[in-house]
Amino acid sequence: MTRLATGEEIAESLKAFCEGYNNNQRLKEMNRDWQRVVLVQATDSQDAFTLDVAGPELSFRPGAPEHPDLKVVAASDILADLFWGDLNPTGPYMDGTLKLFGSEEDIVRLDIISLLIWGS
Amino acid sequence: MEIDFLGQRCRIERRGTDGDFERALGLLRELDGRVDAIGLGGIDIYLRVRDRRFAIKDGLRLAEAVQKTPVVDGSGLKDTLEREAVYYLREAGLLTPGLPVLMVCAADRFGMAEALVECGCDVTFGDLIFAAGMSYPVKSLAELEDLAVKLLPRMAELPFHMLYPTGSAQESVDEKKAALFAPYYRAARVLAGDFHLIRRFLPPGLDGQLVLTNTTTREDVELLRERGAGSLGTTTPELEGRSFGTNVMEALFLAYLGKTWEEATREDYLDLMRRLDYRPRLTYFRGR
Repeated sequence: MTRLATGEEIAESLKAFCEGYNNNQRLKEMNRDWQRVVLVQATDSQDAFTLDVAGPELSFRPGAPEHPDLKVVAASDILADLFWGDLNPTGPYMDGTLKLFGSEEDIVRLDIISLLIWGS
Repeated sequence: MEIDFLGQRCRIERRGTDGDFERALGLLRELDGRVDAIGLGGIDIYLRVRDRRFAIKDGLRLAEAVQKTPVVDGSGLKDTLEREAVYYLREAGLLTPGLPVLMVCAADRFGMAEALVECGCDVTFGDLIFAAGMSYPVKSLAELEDLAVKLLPRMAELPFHMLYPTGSAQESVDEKKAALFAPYYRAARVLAGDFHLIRRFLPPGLDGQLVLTNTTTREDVELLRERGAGSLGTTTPELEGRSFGTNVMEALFLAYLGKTWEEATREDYLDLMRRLDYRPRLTYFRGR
């Protein structure tokens, strides 16, 4: 049986993800002109977060954005593992336990960001 | 069509499925054991970066659907052929040290990338630009390898259409992105690599660039001319007035050699290329 991750745990993982991004000069350079609002939504709890990609800076806040460009939807434990880097997004994306809604190019870019923060 | 290949009559057929993966799987199973070799087009089985090989999940699934007939994606021949094409153009004085080159993607043709760097060209690798729309030119083979090792093992598991235009997506130019990425094209004197990727963001207003690529159709040539390219170098050999993709040529080579993909060597390919008197074909749009 899978364990539900708490909102605090997801927030901690998002914090680590943002730090990984903001401390990576190459990622900041790669995404300097990329502006996106990303919804991070847990399917087994009411937890939702907003990731703001403002080019070289990545930040997050609790709550869902009004008009997300990209949606990352999965069970809470998957979200926490994903943003902690304990789980690579490609596997759950391919088996359907992680759903990404947005343009294919944005999805590929998010995958690249995750791989460059946490490795494969 | 039927052609004479070094004294042997060969029948070549193109069977397309317009990017339909399941239909492609069915077709491959149907052809298994009934033809001498199969060349997969529009998809790679492996990406080779120096001595590492990364399997593309979808490409491997297609290859594994075939048990008896040798299946190739052209990557083995491409590595040999495109190096030779670059050396030929260097000898012809068309590739000189410091010449700015935009190579749209090096992960699918590392041999060409290495040869261009060997010639001293100032190469911009557009792998992240063309795969993910990231305005991040890679400027060295070392960084390219570093990124390949970090990204390719996982990215190769994504559906192929997310990484490369397939089916009808191969036939259009993304005009919005073409405007965005035009500076990379215009700063280069040579545009090198896969033609579907070159075309993807091909801007108008080029000023005489040499396009070095694999195969092109008559429509592609017209598009290049209309967008201002100066010349076109195609790397695939011409047989009886027709050019074929490297996947077809590599399949033809294997059928002729009677070898599997694993058995065929670079020397085998070089020997056949010598016997075919291989050289890249050059077409000038504006005079030499």
